[in-house]
Amino acid sequence: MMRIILIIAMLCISQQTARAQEITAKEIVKKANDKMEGLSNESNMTMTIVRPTWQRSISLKSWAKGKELSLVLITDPAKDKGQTFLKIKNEMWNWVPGIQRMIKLLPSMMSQGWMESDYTNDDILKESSIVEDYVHTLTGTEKYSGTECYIIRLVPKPEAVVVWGSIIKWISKGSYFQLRSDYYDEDNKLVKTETSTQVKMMDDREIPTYIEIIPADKPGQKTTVTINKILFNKPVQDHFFSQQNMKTIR
Amino acid sequence: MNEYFKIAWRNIWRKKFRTLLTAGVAFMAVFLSILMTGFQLGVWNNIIEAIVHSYSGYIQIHAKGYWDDKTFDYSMSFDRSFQNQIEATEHVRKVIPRIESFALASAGLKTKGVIVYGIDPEKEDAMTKLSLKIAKGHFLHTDDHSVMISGRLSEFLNLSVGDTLVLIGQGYQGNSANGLFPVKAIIRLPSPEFDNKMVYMTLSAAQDFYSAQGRISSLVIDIDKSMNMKSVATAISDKTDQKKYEVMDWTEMMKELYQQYIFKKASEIVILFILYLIVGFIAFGTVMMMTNERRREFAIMVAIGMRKKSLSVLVGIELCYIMILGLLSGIAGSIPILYYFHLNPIRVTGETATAYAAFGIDPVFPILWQPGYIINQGIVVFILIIISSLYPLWNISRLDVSRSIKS
Repeated sequence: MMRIILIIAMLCISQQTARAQEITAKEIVKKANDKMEGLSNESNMTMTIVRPTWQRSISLKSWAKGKELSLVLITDPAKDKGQTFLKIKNEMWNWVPGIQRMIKLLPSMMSQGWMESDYTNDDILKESSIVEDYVHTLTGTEKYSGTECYIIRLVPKPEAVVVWGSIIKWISKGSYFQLRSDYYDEDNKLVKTETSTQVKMMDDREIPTYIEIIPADKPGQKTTVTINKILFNKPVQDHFFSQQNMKTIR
Repeated sequence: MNEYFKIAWRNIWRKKFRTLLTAGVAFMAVFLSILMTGFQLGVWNNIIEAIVHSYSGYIQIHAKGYWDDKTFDYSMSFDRSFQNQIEATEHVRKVIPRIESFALASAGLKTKGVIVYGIDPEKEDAMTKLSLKIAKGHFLHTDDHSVMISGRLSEFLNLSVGDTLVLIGQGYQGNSANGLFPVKAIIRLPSPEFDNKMVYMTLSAAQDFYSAQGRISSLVIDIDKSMNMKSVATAISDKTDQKKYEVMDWTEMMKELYQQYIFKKASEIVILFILYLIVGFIAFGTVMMMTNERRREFAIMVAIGMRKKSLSVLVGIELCYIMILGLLSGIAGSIPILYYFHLNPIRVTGETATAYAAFGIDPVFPILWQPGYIINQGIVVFILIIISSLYPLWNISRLDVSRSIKS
């Protein structure tokens, strides 16, 4: 009799543990990604490029829908004001009002920094692929910056066209903030680190609003992005993300 | 000792023919080598001067590190007082500011990488004579916002005067550079490499384009005479903070031209060497003939009591007299001829002239009107002759007196 009760008890406990382990590494990453993106979003950001001898700030408005559509308008400084960038799937265009020209980004320009920042054009195009293009493994948990985090290792799938050899992410438990990401190249050398802090209430959720991208081997150099305002899931039409709109949006 | 000099002098005029023959060899050697070197150096100097003037200038000042990485990170600030300080240096004729950077030029569907020169139109023209190379249109004036583009570039982009050029580039401190510029002139540059990709605009237009207000890439220094280059470069280096600036001359900035120059010089030295060799042998032969001829004379002198050493000294001095005579007359003879060609340089004609004109080189074969190489030639020939006159000294020391008297 006792044996049967013991067996049932153990089965119940194992079921509990099994359910607790339900959330997979992939799901953690997906939750974290969705938190920052939603189904669509509209935001006001300031990007600051920091170099050893100078510093430059760009203000921009950004619209995104799903994983494939995004439009960015530069609002400051005056020389760059009016420039727009459109991303559709894996292609990107840049409208430069000063010369009335539409420039399509070529594969050769992918490794260049967007607007000379540490955020490359490739990073922008492949942002949302962290869920689909990688194999995710939960390698442990750790307290990072005073918060309990999942440590997740992302390794690109063989067919994925991705520049990274691997990525390690610290994602906070419960809130699913990507507090830190370390990007390694194919030779397992650390190329850059991204951190996010200053959690604030934006629209309907709390998200970190200050992001730093720090290249590993360039002292005194980094790019910071501050999200000034962001709205989630505002309905936006697909045709908003078009070359015509690039030229007229204000 | 004075006696020897007097005796030697009298000796050489005893046999005028012999003296003049030997001196004549020295004269020929010096005369020919001076003329040849004069023309060689003159021609090369002319070419170098023209090319250096139209591109890099003799000396440039940049921010330290600029030459290895010609980006705006290594630009320098445009400081009037600094420029005046440099201009006040001895032998400096003019100081010309320049911006030099890269951009993408586009018209219609075509795009090409170009070099953008931001220039002070007046000052630049004074040194490089750029306005003479205009094929169509007009030269920039100080407040222009137009551009002048090079010939092959205009052909590639299908642009003529009045059309619009699109330029995109990388500005100072991460700023993006983009703008539309009307084409004011088309400039034909002799070097095909440059004719393919030059765009000229005013300094202020370039500063605007690259968001580099108050900054320049280099100060180009025009000097009065090419031979003063090294001293001017040193003087400027002393005036400037070596940690902030670098001072370079054309031999460092136009390395290929300099190497060509060195190579040419080396091959000319080889020719000169052959000339000297021939002359040396002739001189040796003449001296040998002269010595053997006087064998009986020497033998008798030794027989009546003159020591061999004294005889050697005497003959040595005689030879010196003869050679110096030849040397000085050679120099004296060449100078009037050099002077004539200095005032009336040989005019080049035909294909060479057209090639010269295209590069902006004066179509002449001039000589170099400077004392340096004349003195050099004289010294070299003198040494050669001294060596060849060792023979008689050796001969005398071996003199078999009794046999020679009988011969």
